[in-house]
Amino acid sequence: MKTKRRMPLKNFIKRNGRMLVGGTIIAVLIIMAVFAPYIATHDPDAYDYTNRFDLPSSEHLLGTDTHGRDIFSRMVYGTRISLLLGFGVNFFAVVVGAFCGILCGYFKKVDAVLMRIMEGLHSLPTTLLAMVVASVLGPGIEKLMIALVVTALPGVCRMTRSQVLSLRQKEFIEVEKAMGASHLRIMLLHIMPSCSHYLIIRFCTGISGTILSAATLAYLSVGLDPTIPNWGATIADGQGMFLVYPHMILWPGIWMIVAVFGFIFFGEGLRERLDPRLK
Amino acid sequence: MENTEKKVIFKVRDLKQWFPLKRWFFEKKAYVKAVDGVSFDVYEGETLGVAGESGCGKSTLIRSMLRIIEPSDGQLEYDGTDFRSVRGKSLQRKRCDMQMVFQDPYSSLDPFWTVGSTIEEPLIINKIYKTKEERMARVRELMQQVGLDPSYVDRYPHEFSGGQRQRIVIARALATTPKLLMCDEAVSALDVSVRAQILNLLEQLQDDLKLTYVFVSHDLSVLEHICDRIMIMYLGKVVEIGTKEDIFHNPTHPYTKALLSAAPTVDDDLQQEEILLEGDIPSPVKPPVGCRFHTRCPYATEKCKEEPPVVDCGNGHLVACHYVGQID
Amino acid sequence: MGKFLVKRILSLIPTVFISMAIIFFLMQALPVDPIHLMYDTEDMTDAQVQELEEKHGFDDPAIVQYLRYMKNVFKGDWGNSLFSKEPVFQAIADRMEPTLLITFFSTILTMVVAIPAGVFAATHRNSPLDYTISASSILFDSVPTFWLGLMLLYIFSFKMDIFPLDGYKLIEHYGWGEALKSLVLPCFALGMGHVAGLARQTRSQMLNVLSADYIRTARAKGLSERMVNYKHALKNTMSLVVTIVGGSIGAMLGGSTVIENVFNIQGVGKLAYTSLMRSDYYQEQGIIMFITLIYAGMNILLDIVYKKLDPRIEL
Repeated sequence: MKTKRRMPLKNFIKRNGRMLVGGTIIAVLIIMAVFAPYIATHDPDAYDYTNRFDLPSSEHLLGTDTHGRDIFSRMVYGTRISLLLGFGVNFFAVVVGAFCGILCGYFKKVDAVLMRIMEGLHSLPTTLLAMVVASVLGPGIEKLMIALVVTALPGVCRMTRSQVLSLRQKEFIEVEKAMGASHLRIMLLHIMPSCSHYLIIRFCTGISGTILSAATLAYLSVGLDPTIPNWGATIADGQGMFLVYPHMILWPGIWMIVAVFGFIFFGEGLRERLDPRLK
Repeated sequence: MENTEKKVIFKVRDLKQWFPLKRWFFEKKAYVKAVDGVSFDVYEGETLGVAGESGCGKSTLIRSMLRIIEPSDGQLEYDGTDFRSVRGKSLQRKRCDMQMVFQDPYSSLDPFWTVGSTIEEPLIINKIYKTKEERMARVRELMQQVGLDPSYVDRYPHEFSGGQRQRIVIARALATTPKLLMCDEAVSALDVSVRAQILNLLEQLQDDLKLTYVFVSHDLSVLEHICDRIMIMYLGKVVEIGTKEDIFHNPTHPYTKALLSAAPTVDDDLQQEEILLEGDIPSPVKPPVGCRFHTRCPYATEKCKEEPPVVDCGNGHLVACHYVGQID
Repeated sequence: MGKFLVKRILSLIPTVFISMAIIFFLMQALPVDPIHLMYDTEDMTDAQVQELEEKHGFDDPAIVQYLRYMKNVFKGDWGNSLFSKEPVFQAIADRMEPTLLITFFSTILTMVVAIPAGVFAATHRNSPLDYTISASSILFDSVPTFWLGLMLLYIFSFKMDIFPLDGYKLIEHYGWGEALKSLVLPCFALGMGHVAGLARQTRSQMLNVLSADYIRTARAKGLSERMVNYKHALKNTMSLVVTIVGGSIGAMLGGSTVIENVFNIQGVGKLAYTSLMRSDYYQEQGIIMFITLIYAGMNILLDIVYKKLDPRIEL
């Protein structure tokens, strides 16, 4: 009953424009992260005190920082951390959060306990919570990831839970019970797919937030060793003399804006795409 | 279709389904008494209708009977054996014998599953047939039985109309070759023209597969079409039960009379003076003492504040009223 | 109304309890022994350190310590800073002014920019302006707050010399004018991050409302478009908007940490950061509790406003 038509190119772009643009930016970032050694023009950790605070030039595409390191290379390598955190944190947040949300929505007893904890977590200011967890766990990217996952969990859990609660009213779940389907079966095969739509979108749209949060924490020197190239630290590093040499902050900031914009744009496009199709 | 020897396939005795209300610690415990002591028999091969207004407990009743919600109290007996205490594998086996058909064809099917998988699922859960081919053969057979083209096996629910979806739901219900089918407003959400088709299908299936139906509906005309016996419920209790003829031509309980008088019929014989009831349905949290209906009954007296007796008017026509036969 | 308030406040308590428990136990897990922070332990023997630990109750199980802490909190004793030995609450009170002002004005700023933008975008749907607003809102979302703050400092404080460069000026000492002046940039930086989200939500809620039947009725009645928009649609949109604003406030309270660092403002947020760096966990706990309580209180207030706006919900 459904026919597929070939869409003219103009329409295709109009419909999927956001995903295309966003997707291109994301692709570029991924390539940068993977092939960083080939794309970076210099060694990102190489101190060069004879060339501090250099303005952008053909030698140093974005100039050099307080220690004479090439900013462009540091941003390229920094992409690794940002993408790793972005994908990693959201992956775990979505998986664990969905798991908790489904359990909460399904079992009243679990709900009473777990949701209380989630609410408790949710009422805490996110930046501070992340900072505290990161401080407790110590420096290191895995630990920072855990801290960020902790802040993201309650939101995912709550949303999934409400989806599950509204699904439980649907009759096909009652039928499953009448058929004698096990709880596990219902949760995995029936409830999960209905939530998947939200979860996928949450994964994509969450990446931008994670990158910003991670950069903010790095800027405050929390959680990551500041000598490892990452976006936040680059900006923090440039803070000292930026009034005189604003390039140290300007270009890294714009870089970040473009990157985050790519993710948000892609996520928006994806959401539009998935939404009306479903019904 | 009545046999002189009627076998009881399902017995319900004093079934109660009370739902606790959330209360702060200093407030008294309160319950929604959705089903408050219901007893009746279901005979093999018949279609028993359950009628009543919204909130009378009929939907809760069949869910309790199938133990989708565990009853708060009472006995359930299926095919001579106790159904309430059964667990695990034997519960599973008994469950295959009774299935449900729900009202809303749009929410009865998982939108993410193909029609074929949906009908197949009960076979997988109950481990009927060992191979996929066998299962799918059965699925196709079922689809044909309900009047669906088996080639639609890989389509999704949203590609079908309401009536077709209901057929899918029925096919799924039949997968485990049940003996008893509980229908909760199975045709209420369908267009009138489609309704007749589905009702006819159900009748056909009953003949072909020797099924017993318990059919819940608020629509008396539907019940008149398909049922052998009808049970009238009000606020969690049964007020009258009898054959179709008895109920429609000789309604005895005041509530039944009011219900029938409000239903528009084409049949002049049945057209009566409309009896208007006063007041609203009381809350099931605090139902009236004694006869639940006495607060709105035009014939109520002081005596009605006592629990009414169940009077047998002959031929299985039972009425719960103090004044049976004394009201014209 | 009274009953509602009481119920809400009561339901708050367990949540705060759990929130603080989480923080407390996290802080217990910090790899720092508080005795070493409170006293100069260089020359002490282990026995002396042990004695001090017992004296302060640090060797009790964590739960006992937590309950003791909460009991004290209720009595008004929030503990003393491990660093400065000053009462925790006093330190917070001293620094409340800029933080609360920033949060307040940022919220106002966000609302003033976002809500009209959202309303406008909704009423002029699919116009070029709508697209511009939608596109720029995504852009706003992408900007890191701390970077924006730095850039604003550079442009407006350094180059154009309009706003002060060196932190917050207390009202007490410099008067309202100077104080507010020093807050303009931080508020702007903090607020802009939330403008996009609020504008988007306002727009979509307004669109929902505008397509409702009662709006068609109002138009059919002959009401001018303007009246329709403002009298009917806006009021209904506001109730949802109020909820979102609540969420923003919470985020801003937390975000104050970053902004205060960027602008070198001696507010609660900055103290939170420095306390954490110093492992001054009594102070840190106090601050987090303070922020959490304010956020919760704010939500209750907003709930009341929400219910006043939406007559369907009974108080």
